[in-house]
Amino acid sequence: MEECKGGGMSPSSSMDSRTHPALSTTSSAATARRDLSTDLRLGLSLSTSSSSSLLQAAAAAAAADDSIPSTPRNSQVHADWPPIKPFLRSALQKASAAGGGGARRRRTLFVKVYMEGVPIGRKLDLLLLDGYDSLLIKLCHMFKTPITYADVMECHQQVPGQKAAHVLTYEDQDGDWMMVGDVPWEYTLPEQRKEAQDCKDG
Amino acid sequence: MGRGGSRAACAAAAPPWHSLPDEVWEHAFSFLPAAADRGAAAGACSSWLRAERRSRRRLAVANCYAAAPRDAVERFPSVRAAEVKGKPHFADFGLVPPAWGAAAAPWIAAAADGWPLLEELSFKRMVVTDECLEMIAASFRNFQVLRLVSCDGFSTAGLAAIAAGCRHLRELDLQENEIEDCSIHWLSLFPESFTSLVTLNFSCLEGEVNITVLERLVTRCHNLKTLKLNNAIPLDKLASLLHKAPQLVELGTGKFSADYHSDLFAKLEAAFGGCKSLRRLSGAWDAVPDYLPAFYCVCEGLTSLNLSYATVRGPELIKFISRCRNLQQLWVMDLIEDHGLAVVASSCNKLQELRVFPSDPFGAGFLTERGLVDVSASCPMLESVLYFCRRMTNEALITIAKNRPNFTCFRLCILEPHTPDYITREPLDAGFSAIVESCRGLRRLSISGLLTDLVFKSIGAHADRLEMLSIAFAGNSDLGLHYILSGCKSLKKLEIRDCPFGDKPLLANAAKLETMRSLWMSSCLLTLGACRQLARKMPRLSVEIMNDPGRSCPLDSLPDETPVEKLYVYRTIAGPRSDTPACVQIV
Repeated sequence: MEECKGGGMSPSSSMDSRTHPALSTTSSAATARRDLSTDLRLGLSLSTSSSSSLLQAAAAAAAADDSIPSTPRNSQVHADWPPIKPFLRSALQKASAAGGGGARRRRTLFVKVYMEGVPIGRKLDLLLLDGYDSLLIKLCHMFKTPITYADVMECHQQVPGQKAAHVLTYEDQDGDWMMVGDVPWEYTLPEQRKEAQDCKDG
Repeated sequence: MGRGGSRAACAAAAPPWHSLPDEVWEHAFSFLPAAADRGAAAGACSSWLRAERRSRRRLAVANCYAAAPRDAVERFPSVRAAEVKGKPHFADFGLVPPAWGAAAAPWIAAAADGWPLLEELSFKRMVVTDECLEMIAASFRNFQVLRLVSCDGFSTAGLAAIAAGCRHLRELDLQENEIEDCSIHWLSLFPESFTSLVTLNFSCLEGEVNITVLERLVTRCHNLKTLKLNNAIPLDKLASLLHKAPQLVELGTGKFSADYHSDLFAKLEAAFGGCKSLRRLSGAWDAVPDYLPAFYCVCEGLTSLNLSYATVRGPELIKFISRCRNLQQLWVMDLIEDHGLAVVASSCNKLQELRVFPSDPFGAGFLTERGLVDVSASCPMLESVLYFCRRMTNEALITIAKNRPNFTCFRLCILEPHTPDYITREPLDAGFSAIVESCRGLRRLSISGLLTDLVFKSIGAHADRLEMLSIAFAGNSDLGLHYILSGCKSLKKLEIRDCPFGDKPLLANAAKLETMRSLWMSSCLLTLGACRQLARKMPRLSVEIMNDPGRSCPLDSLPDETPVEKLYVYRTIAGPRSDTPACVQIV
């Protein structure tokens, strides 16, 4: 399992004035999405929170996304800088996603994950996982907290005394925040399905 | 032909030289290979012009829109080898809209009509469709060389047509193209009787190829000198391919990684041991340190090593390169680090070209000024550099300039824009000025880091032979661009991005643009009004502007002060092109 270097960012770099969740993010959304390998975002929301605070989690995720530089460089990142050919660039992206030097190249689908109230996110590669359960196990490990999703939650309600603290949500193509788990794992990322299969085959 | 004889003939008959039959001149011109010499000679008189155009065998068109394909074919009816280039250079870095244009189809159609004896075609940064490739295969009965560089628009189906149709093919050279993979069987369309291949390069192909078919092809093409495999060819197959083609001079390996097995290593080592003629090595995709020693037996003979896709690092990499004592060309990732370059400096004294690419384009970079200073101090033949680093100093650049006044190409990219000299915090003006002042033969220059207009004053005044200049995130006023356009006598291509250069210097130096091949400016301070004035003033220039896709309203309705995001200006004798997509408008 690989995680992006950005995940280990020092807290001080993320605590500038723009990190507050309540900030509007519409104008900055375009620049925030330069990292094309991270098209999908997941959110972890407190299970006790209402739907309005789920939305807040979305805003928190978006705001944090903008304010935390995903690279060690300070200034604005240009998608077309430094000047290297797309061939090399894509080869490098594959190589670095596969774990850096010497590792084999493969397809990846990194997503950013934010926990409500925590400005610093984590990244993980969905193509390394084979279903919701392994995603959950991974996230529990990454965030050191019990996490659940829609499907499991229904079961858990029948087991009193055992409750998960965070619910897993995701932002869909329409920009809506949804509960994770309602659609089969393979259909979670429709346009990425081919890549996922390619990865298994290759 | 004896000189005395021809002089005697002149004395006897004394015919005026221009009344010699054209056939004689055409024959004479066949001894003049350089296009520039031919161009100069053609300007001498009408009979030379006629003879030159009729005898021209090779034609290079640096901009596919600079002339109409039909006119070119008509003017040079005997061409056997043609090279056409399309999109601006900045297309390599994603600055040109993908649908910009540069279709190869009109050139191929014109060639098919007028040049039935065409043997070679090269396209660079053009859109080559499968239909184009089918037309090539069907139209030229003695077709031998197809070279596609940074092209897109075709698939393996088109390659299949080439394989099936070009019976005399010598070279199929596919460099950095985007190829759609529809079938692995294209290689099997080379007929069983086909043996003429000298170069086969499909390193950019993403998909699998049929390895059995490839092995058979390699076995029967005894003249194969260059074989560049793609990433899908596993390491164990490389060994068996090499056994079948020990005569190779240039090899691009496929994937150079596998779990370590001593018998596979031994097999590889033996295979490389048989390749006595190997001079150029590339590929090594995903190379793992364990297998690098398999190369050791060919190191001594290598003159060119391209590891720009090999994410290997550490002592094994450095040990490997240090054995390549005869290298003239080295491309490598910055994973080599400064101490690796110090070893290169002490081991590879014949180095002429060094390119170091960033392994993490969005990271800070691994290299500093030290690596380049070391190499410049120890490699007296070094004349071409492309170097991505995270920091630089003026002192280092001055030392490099002093060490290597023989640079013809100097491209330095400091990864973070606007980075000053990290010791003095000064702009890097003095350093780059030193480069242009000492390297009088400099033809290509890319500058980066914190730079003011001062550096352009120096470039304009000293870089007399500079032909191509790339500028990014530099300068502080119009003056910078003015220095360049009013100086730089030999400038052909100028590309600028993210600089505070506006309308004034462009209009003041409009005539200069007609002597140049092209000018690219993006994210500068240009307005539509200036572009309109430029187009009016210089009718032989094509002035293209590209704006955000969301704003494709007709140009006429926009006011003069509308900012122009991207400008591309080039001279043309064909008039405005008719194939512009919606995002491109010709002023």
